[in-house]
Amino acid sequence: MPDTAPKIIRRSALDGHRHVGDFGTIKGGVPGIVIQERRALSIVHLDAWADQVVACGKAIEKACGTAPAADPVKASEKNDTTVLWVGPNRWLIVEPESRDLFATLSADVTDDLATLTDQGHSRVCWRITGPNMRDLLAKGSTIDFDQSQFIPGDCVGTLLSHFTTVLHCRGDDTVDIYAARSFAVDLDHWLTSSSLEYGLWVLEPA
Amino acid sequence: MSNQSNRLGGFGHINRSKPIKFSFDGKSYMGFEGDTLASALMANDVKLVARSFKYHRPRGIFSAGAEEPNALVSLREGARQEPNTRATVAELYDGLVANSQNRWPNLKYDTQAINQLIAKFIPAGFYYKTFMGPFSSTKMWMIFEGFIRKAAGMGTASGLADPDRYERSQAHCDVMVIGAGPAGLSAALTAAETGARVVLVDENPVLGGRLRQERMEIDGKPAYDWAMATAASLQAMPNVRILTRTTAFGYYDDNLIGCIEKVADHFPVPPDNLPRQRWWKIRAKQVVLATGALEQPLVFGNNDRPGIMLAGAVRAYINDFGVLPGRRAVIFTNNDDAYRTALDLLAAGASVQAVVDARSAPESDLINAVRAKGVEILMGHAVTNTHGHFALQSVEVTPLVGGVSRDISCDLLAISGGWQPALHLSSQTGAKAVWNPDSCCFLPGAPKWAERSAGSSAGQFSLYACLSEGHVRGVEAAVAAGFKSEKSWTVPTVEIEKPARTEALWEAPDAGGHPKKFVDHQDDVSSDDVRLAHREGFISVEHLKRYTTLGMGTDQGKTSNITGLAIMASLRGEPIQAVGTTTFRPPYTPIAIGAMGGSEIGQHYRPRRRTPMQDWHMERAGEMLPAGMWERPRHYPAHKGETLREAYIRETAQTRKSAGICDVTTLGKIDVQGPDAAEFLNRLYANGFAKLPVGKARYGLMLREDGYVYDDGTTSRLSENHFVMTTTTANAVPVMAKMEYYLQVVWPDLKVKIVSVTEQYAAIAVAGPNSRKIMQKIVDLDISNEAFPFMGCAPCMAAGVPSRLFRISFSGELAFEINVPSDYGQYIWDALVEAGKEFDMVPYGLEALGNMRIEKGHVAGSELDGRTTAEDLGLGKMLSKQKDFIGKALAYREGFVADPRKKLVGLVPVDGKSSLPNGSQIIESADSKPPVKMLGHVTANGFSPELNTPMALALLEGGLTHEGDIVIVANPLKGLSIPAKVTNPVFVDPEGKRLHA
Repeated sequence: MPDTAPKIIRRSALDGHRHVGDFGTIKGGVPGIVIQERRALSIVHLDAWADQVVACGKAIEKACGTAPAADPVKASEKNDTTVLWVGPNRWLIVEPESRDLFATLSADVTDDLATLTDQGHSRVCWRITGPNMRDLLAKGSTIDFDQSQFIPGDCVGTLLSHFTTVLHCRGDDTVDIYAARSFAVDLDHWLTSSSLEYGLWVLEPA
Repeated sequence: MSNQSNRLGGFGHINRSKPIKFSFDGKSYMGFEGDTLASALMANDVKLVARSFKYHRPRGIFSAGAEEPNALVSLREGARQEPNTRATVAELYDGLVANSQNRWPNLKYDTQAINQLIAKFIPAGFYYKTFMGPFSSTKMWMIFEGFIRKAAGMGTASGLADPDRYERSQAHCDVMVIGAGPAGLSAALTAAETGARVVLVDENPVLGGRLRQERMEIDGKPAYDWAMATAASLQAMPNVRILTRTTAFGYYDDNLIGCIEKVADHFPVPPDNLPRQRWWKIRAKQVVLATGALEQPLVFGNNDRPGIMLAGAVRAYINDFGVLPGRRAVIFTNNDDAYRTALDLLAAGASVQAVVDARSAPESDLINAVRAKGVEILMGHAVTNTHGHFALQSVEVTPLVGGVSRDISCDLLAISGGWQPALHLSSQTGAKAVWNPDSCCFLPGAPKWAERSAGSSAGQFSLYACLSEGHVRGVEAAVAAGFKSEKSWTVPTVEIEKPARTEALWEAPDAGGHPKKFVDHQDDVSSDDVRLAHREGFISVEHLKRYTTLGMGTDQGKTSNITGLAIMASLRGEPIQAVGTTTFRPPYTPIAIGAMGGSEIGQHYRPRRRTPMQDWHMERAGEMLPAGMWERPRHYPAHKGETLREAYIRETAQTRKSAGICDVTTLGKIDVQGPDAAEFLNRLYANGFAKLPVGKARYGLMLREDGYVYDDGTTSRLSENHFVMTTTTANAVPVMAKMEYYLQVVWPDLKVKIVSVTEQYAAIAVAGPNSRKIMQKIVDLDISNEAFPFMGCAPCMAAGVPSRLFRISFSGELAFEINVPSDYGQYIWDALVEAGKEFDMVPYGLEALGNMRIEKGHVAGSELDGRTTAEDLGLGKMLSKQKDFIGKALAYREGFVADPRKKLVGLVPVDGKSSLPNGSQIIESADSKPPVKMLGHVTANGFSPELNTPMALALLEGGLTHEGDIVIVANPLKGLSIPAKVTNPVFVDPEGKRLHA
């Protein structure tokens, strides 16, 4: 079901809990971590029938301008649209809320190719940047976050502290973290408190 | 404030430009940056630092490292107080406060030192025999225990919450090198030069290991310079991570190494938002263990006095810290290495009174070098007793074969029983240690994982061997991890030594009298205790350990295990290898509980899930209750002072009278799509779903494979191939996992996809006779009874938001449930609250929700307890005869259908006012004599404002065949025995007319 509701403001799970500003030990005026919530997002979960993966990929490409990455644990991107691998034949298609993504996808990704489920309100997304981004992630997950191993385009599902997350590496010092909305306040607290030793900027949502 | 009378000029690596003030037992002292608490105390000529565990004997500093058994102090004050901290590894910082422990009223005059006078009567195990045996069945032991705990023991915790932060971190690498002495540095450097990712950990603040503590040379320069240069090379390599102040404490399966990094222990308070400690999990493809070796002491009479110290530790204090541990020294050894101590002491300006060597006639360059300095060397001798009290005054030296004892005046006795490789980590992998009689030590056994030992941890004790072995093992590890070694490497130039053979001396003989000879200094275990264990049959090393507590202190027997088992081997008349070692287990050194907890404290001990309306609830709820990982409002007090009972009865009454609103977001919601979705649900649920029309919801009952009831909820058909299922809050995840399992494993032929949409939608229930009027204000659907009958569902727009509307009811009233995208949840909630104002709609919490379901006899978690069948719950007719479903095969087995089973009934108190507490037992009569048969139990209870009576649901043997009977609801814990009448479990609107209104 599309989630377009003109003139009605979406309320993030973090609204009322977000503390924007400078925190912790910022050395030389440069924070080790910058946290910004990405919102509002449209997210569609796409689950392809096993015998229609290729056709489904083409349909996604037609709708979004980019096909899913050929390999698992990878993401593809085109303009503002990101296709995150979240399991065999399963992707999350993410973009800033500007069009009816669900309807757009439904037009090309038909029932015989895949099922679509609106998940635009189910996740909160943090964009983490800064030279200590990998140190921060290593505090909570057993993934190998070395620059040679967790590279731009990687997309992994992992526990970060207690929280089930999808981590999308977007650059050497940038990652997008997707987590369930109901855990957002506690995960945000974990992210910010774990960043204090590096120096932290929390920005207004993008 | 004392001056540092024992500080040496020209020795040590301390930073003399940074003096540091600290205190011990209330007295102020000065030290330098780079000191440990032990070295600084020694510099200030403080010899007495502790009292022993059991006999309260005066103890001094025994070692210079993690193996320290004696110098345990209480560090810091207040909430940061750390008992039992080894002074030998506590880095000095400005303002450090340390206190001795296990003494009263003070360290010098400790009243419990009286235990020394009765030491003969309190050997190992005395208190079990004396106090527990005769008094084991009485409370007397509890009284004795209090005294014993006070008399023997160590420091105490502050009891205050630790104010500091602890964290965790993870790392991966190709080669992990543990220990940064000569072998570790060589291994790390050569492995890193292949391009491998290397992690090098060392427990000290600065790399170098024993190279910092010895006066050796590499390439014609001090070995320390080589260590610093190598450390600098490693630090400059991008593929190397160096963790100092980090102890690898545990070696786990598949090369997972647990480490503790003491990030800020060298500060009074962690600065710059740093955690105090960090718990590392490091996964390595290959491991090089370069953990070094631990010098072993010798066992002789009164071998525990302050001033008796390991010979290697003496060199460490001189060469690393610039401190002279004594001015008139005697060396007692069974190996060549201690001769270095004699040379270093002489170089530092001390006099060496004698070297007492237990070997009969060893010859080596090192021995000759000492002899050339004019030091008396007593071959074939042993120290057999010592004198002094708070400080060593003299030692008694006796020939091992014939001859007369003599006293030698001294203030320092440096002892060495040889070196034992620190094979703790190797042993933790399961590698069985192997006894090496030539070196008188255990060596690491055959590796179980991808690891190898190098240097002295592999029994290679010479500097040349450490450097060359380190290189070889580093290359070997890197190659095994998939890298190529192309760079040639030459072992640096070092002196090649040919030491004389070490000869074991496990216990020096008595030479008149029978003084205490301590094997385990920390737990006050003597060689007599080992003999006692042997006499009493505890001859296995594991039994020896537990009977005497040998090696069970915080030092884990690093300086006692080998000697203890060697003495036992001798008593058994068997070789040491046959007796074996005790099992090494993590941690290698003590770990703070805070580090184990990491950041998972407070709100992160157990993260909470929040609904989109959580803030609204938290502002108004009287109490939040955990429900799975969620927290839900229990009730909403209408005014200050309204009790929980008053509130939930009011919420129940007002909902049934007009309307109530409830946040039901926490229920599990699962999207089920695909051409076989209906068939899938039909197999999953016990009742039929294949023919559920589009736009309709149905209550579904799920069984476990064994036929018991598993879960329930409503499932709605949104379109031909699209359903949305709801589950109970607690079972949302297990049900989803079970569905995935069946789709992937059992019925892969079904073309169905499932996705959790619990997070996507906020769910709000509006119940009560006015609920339609309220809901109609915000939705664009015609929701009249005709257009939108009971169990209808449809998409709609609600206040401009695309939503899903369901006409379902848990309360038994006319009710609607609306699902809206979560970010709009609060918006829609506010809209509904506003719409409900004219009807005095109330929010209702978990208590009223539960109360209304009890009034309706709806089963929930307390009845779906894994022991009830559908028939037990009055839902037997839901089991379809027309189709197969999960659990059907076992749902009709004999025990499930045979009477009498406990079945769902209602209960009301006969007096019309007594509550019937949950969990109460149902019995036949209050006069029953034990054993009393339990006929059932109360599963849920509440108060029905409509009937004006307390009520309860219960599982009662025979169920409704007892309807109208009077039973006794007994709750011995609360002293209750309440007559109650058995009723139908549906108390309110049994015909269900309200649902269809």
